[in-house]
Amino acid sequence: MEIIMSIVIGVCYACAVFLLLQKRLLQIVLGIALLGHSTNLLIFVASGLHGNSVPIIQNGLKELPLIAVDPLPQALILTAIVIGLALFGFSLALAYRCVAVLGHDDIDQITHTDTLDDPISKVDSKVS
Amino acid sequence: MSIALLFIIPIVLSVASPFGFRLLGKNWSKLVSFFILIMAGLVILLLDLASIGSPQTLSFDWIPRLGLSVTLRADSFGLFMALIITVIGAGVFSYTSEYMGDDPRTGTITGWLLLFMASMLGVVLADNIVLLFVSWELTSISSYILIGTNNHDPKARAGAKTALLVTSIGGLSLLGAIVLLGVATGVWNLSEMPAIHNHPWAASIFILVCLAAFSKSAQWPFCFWLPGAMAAPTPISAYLHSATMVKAGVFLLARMHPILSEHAAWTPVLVFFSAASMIVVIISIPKATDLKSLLAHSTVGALALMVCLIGIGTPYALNAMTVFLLAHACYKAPLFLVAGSIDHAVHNRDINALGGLAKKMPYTMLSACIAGISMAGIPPMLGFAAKEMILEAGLSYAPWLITLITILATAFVMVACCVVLIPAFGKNSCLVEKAHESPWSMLAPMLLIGIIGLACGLRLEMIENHLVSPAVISLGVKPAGLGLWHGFTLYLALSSLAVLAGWLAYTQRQALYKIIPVLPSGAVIHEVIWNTVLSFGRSLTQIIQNGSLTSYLGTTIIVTCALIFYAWVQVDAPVRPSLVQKITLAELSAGLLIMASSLATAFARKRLPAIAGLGAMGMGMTLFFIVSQAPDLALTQFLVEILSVVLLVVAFRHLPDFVGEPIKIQSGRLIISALTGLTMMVLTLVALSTEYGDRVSLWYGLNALRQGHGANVVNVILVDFRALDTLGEITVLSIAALGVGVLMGGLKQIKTKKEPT
Repeated sequence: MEIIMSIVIGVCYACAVFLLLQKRLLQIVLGIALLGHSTNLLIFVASGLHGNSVPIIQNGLKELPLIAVDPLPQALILTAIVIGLALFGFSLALAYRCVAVLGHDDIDQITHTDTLDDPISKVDSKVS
Repeated sequence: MSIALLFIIPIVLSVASPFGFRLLGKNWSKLVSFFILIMAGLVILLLDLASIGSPQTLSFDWIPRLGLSVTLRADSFGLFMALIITVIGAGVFSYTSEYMGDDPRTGTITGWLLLFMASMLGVVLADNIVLLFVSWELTSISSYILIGTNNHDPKARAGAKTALLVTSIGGLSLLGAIVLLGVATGVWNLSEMPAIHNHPWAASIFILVCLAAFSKSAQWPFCFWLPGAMAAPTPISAYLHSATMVKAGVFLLARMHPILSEHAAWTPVLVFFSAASMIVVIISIPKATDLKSLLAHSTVGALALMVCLIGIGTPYALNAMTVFLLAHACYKAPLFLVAGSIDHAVHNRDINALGGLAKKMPYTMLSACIAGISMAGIPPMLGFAAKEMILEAGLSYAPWLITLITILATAFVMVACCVVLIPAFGKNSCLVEKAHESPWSMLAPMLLIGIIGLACGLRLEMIENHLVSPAVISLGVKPAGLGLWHGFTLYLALSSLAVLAGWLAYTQRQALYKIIPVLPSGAVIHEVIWNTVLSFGRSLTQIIQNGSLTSYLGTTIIVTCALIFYAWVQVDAPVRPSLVQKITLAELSAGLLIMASSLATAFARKRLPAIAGLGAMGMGMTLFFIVSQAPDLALTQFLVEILSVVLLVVAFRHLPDFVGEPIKIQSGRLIISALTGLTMMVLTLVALSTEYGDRVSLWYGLNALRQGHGANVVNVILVDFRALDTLGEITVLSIAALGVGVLMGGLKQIKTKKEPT
C-alpha cells in the first residue's frame, strides 16, 4: 500500500508543479491548492500507515492503545488544512482583484509593481 | 605626546570644521592654517629629536586580541614627509579661504582636507604596517570625496570614481602585501622588519607592493587616473594630487627599500615601469592644453623619476630622490596654486586662450616664475641641485636607454614649464581685461612655498644637515654630499642639453604634436574593462532575472530536486518500505481517485473541469482519511472542500477562461513536473524505510485523558497541548479573511463609485 501511496503522492506533486508553471493566475491558484493537498498526503503517509483504530481513547481505557493510528501527524495536518484554506482563499481573491483591475491574468504581462499612475493605486486612493 | 598632537589637532579641527565655518565664514580656513603652522613647528622639533638618534614613538593597544596595536614612530624620513605635508597644508588652507570664498561647501571641504591630512600623516609616521594600511585607505577615501566636490558635474563624478577604483586596487594589493610580510617575518613593525629577499614569498610581496605603489603614485599602466582627478577644486589638486598623496606610493617603495631591494627583480621592474610612465608623459605633455592637466602629466613624470631612482637603489640615487621629492613639492604646489588663481580670476585654464596676465597679476606671475625656474632646473634653485643629482645617479646605472629617457623626461618637464609660463608672458588675450590680482591669503602661500625652494637652493648645506641626511640615514643608506655647483662636469653638460632640448621642443611643439603617435593609454583599457564588467553584469541579470515567474519557479524546483537527490545519494538511504501492509480495496480506490482527479485538474482545458477536478480531489482526500482511521481530518477536509468550491464558484465568473497551450510546447514543464513527482516519490519511500526511535506521539497518547481530560487525542493536542499554535492558526485565518474581504469588497465600492462618472 505504501508503494501505491508514494506513486499517488508523486503524481499529485507533479500535477501541482505543472499547474504552478502555467501562465494563467487561476491555474497557479489551483496549483497552490493541489500542492497543499499533496503535502498533507505526504505527511500522512510518511508517518506510516500502520494502526488499526482511530486515535480516540475508548470508554474504560486510560490511554491510547499502541495499535491506534499516530495522532500527532493528524493534528499537524488538521492545522495545515485550515491554513491551506486561508492561503487558497487569499490567492484566489488576489487573482480576482488582479483580473478586475488589469483586465487579464497573464503573469508574464505583470512585470512591474504599481506606480502612482497605475489603476491599482488610483483605485486604492479612491477607496480610502 | 607630541606625535599624538599631530593627529589630535587635525581630527578635532576636522570635526569642528562645519560649525567653525558657519561661525567664522572664510576666516575659519585661515585659523586652521595657523594651527597647521603650529603643527609644522612641532614636526621641526621632532626632527631635531630624531636626528640625534632618538625618534619619538607612541604605542597603544588597538585590538589586543588580534595582536594589533597603534604604533607611531617619528623617524627622520617620516618627519621629512610630515614637514612637507604640514607646510604645504598650511599654505593650502590659507589659499582655500579666499579661493572657495563663501561657498557653503567650504566647511565640509576643509573638514575632509583635515581628515586627509591626518591620514596622510598616519601613512608617513606609522610603524605598524596594519596602521599604515588603514591610513593609506583613508587617504584614498578622502581623495575620492574631495575629487567629487563638484558632485553635480558628471566629469567630476567620473574622475572621482576612476581614482577610487584604481587606488583601491592598490589598497587591496597593499593589504595582501602587509599580511604576507607580517606572516613571513612575524614582525608587524616596519622599524624591526628584517630584509626578506630570500624568503619564498618575496616575489609575491614585491609584486603586491608594486601594484600598491604604482596605482597610488599614478605610474604606468595606472597613470590615467591623475589627470581625471583634476576635476577637483585647485587647492585639492595642489595638495593631494601633486604634493602629498601621490607621493605615498614613492614613500612606500622607499620604506620597502631596506626590506626588499636585494631582490633580483627590484631594479629592473621599478626602472621599467618608471621608464614606461616617462614615455607616456613625453607623449602627453605636448598635447595637453588645460593648465591643470598639463601639470598633472608633469607630476606623473616627476613621480616616475622618483620611482626610477628608488629602483636604481644606490645610496646616491636615494639621496637624489629625497632632494628631488623636496624640490618637487616646493615647485609643483605653487604652480598648481597659480593655475588656480588664474582660473579664479579669468575662469579659463586653456593655455591657448591665456596670455599677457603679468601686467594684471604681477605677484601671481612672479610666483609662477620662481616655481617654474625651479621646475626647469635652472640655478640657483633647489630643482637644479636635484636634477644634477638625478642625472648623476641615472648615469651611474648602466643602460644608456634609461639615461636617455631620463634626459628626455627632464627636457619635457622643461616644455611643461615653458607652457606654464605662457599665461604670464604670452601674447595678450581678450581675457586680460577681466583679470585681477588675487588677495594676499592666496598669494602668500604660492610665493612663500616658491621662495622656500629658492632658499633651500641657496642654503643647501643647511638642508643637507638637518633634513636630507637624517632622512636618508633613516632609510638605511649613507648620505651623499649636496652641492649647487659641481663645476663644469658631464652632468652640467647633460643638464644644459636637457634645458636646450626642452626649449627647442617648446618652440616646435606644433610640429611635435603631429609626429607623436596616438597610443592606447591606460584610460582606454580602464574604459574597456569597466564597460565589459557592466555589460556582463547586465546580461547576467537578464538571464537570471528575466521577469518570468515560470522560469524562476522552474529553476528553484530543479535546484531543490537536484539537492534532494544529491543528499539522498550522499546519505545512501535505503528504499525498503519495511511495513508493507496488505492493499485494501477502499484505500486503493481512494488513492486512484486522488491521482485521477489531480491529473484532471492539471490537464483540464477549461475552467469548470479544472475546478471540478480540484473538488473531486478534495473528496478523494476525505475518503482516504476515512479509510485511514482519521475521522477528524476527514471532517475538516470535507468542510474545507465545500468552502473552497464555494469560493471558486464566486470568483470564477470574473476570471477569464484559459485555453491551455498544446502539450507539445509544454514538454519543458512536463519534464520539470515529472522530476518533482519522482523526487517526492523517492522522498516518501525513504521516509517510510526509516526506523524511528521513541515517538513523541506516545506521550500524547498516554497523557491525553489524564492531563487533557479528553478522549479524542487529536483534538486534545490541538486545543490543549498545542493551544498556542492553534491560536496562531486562527490569527492567520482571520488575517487572510480580512485580506479577502478588502480585496473583494473594495472592488465593489470602486465599481459603484465609478458608475456615476
